[in-house]
Amino acid sequence: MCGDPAQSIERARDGIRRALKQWNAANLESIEASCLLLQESAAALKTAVDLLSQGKAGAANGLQPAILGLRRDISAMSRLVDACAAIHRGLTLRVVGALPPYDASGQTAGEPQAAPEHVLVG
Amino acid sequence: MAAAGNALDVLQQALSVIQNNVDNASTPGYAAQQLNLEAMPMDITGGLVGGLSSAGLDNSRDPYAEEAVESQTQMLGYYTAQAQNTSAIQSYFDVTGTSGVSSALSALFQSFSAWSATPSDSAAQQNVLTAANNLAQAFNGLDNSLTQTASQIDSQVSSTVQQINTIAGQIQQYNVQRLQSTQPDPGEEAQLYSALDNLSQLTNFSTVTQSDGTVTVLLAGGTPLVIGTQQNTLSANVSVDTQPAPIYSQSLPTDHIIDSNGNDITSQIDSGQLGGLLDTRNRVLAGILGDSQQQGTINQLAQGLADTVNQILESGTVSTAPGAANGTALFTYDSSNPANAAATLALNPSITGSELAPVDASGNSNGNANALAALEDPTGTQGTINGMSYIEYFGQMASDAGQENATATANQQTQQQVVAQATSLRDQISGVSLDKEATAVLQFQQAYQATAQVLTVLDNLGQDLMNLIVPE
Repeated sequence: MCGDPAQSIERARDGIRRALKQWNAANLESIEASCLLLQESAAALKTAVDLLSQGKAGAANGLQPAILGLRRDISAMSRLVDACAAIHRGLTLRVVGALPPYDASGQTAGEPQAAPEHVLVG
Repeated sequence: MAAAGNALDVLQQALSVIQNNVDNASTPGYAAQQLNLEAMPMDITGGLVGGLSSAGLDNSRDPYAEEAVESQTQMLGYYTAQAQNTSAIQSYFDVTGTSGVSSALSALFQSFSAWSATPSDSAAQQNVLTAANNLAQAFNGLDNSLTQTASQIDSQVSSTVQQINTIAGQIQQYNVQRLQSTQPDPGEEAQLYSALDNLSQLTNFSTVTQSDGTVTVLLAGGTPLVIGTQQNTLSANVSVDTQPAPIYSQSLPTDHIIDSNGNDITSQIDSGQLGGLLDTRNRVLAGILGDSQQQGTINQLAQGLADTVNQILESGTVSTAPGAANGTALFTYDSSNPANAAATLALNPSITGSELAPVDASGNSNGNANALAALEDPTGTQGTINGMSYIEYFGQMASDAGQENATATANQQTQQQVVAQATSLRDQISGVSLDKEATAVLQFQQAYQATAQVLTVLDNLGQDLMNLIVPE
């Protein structure tokens, strides 16, 4: 196998960034296109891992900032997907007629509770 | 005939509803209305003539989707306020080391080094005084810039609280009108939801629609903002915390949100623009400038440096001659208020170059000067804070400020997309029955799952890469 792990990592990051931009539109096509880009990124990363696993110590020099950046990108993408999935999970439960087990902020929700008693001015 | 007339009336109502939907298509907060029609029983012999009747208005607003958008918008407001204000804070820290405190620190240590080579040289002595004065001014300038930012955030907090009160007033007015009518007015309801959208940018809250149709708005901790026709007016103030008992009673005050009963509800505001402002002001800036419980990193650095330099100089003498005068402090600051050390740091106004003491307590002619020069890269505990040299400590402060901004900016960018997604999903389910959306919803869910699985693979590969370059 030949290649430069730095280039593979950069290719993976580019794919993740493009996948992230796809989520500006909330439609199925964009999300599926995003998933394909992430799969390409995974393939590029696998190449980088294989290259480094071959023990080319020199090839690892200076890669840490790029890998840390990559992990930040993955983290941002994961956060976006998790948030949207959480919203949608609640929506799915609404569709099937059940009360959502949690609200959009992730808290457990039951029947609406009466407001606590407070002395108000106004 | 009566049945036909009634049906026509009902259909006329339905047409009015459709026309209303068309007219308000671009009204903020408006959701399409739908007139529910029901067949009336027909039994000619029993006198029931059949036909259509109206079973009331429904709107297509989904409470869950509304709450999802509000909740995500609150987080966007939070990150946006954080990103904007931490950007200002980080801009005051010059990470290049060519200006500000970082540069002035290096210049002072260089002047000590030059002076140690020629302790009696008046030019070298004067350079030390000049560098010390420049460093004190750099501390004063940084402290002043950060304090001004704190003041600007105070104003923003005050203005945001006013906006919240204004919106709460609009919701209270909606409740007043709602109690006077049997059915919700689509126009007024649109205004209500527009108001709630605006409120969600400012603070965290939840809503409960009561059986009488009025909307109760509660802040996250349960403090009511609006209940029925009553409004809880909030106010902002700037004060030094008294609970727990202050360690630094003269520290820079922090921001507080007070409800109409005088309760401090600051800790309940942890989202929305107000939450972001409070976090930046009461956590990020307080960490640097200090508050009732902490001295603040900038003051810790200013005091630590001044005390160490002064202690070294005052422990020695100005020459090796018998009976030579003791050294004089190089810096002054308000020691009665350690949480204001950076703002009051100054070159000792009474010191002259000849009063600098290069001779250490053991009589070495440049022992003190060498000890001062060594503070740039200390080998022991003297001249360190938390194990870092003064230059490293300032670098850590700059790095922390930059990290705060980087995190807030990244969160803001991601959150913008979350809000876009939530808003789009809400709009997609407005105007159509949820049953019709069931298939699409499940497809979305599958797409999310597939994406999440690929992300898990990516995350694992990223971890593998880290392990490969950083052997455990």
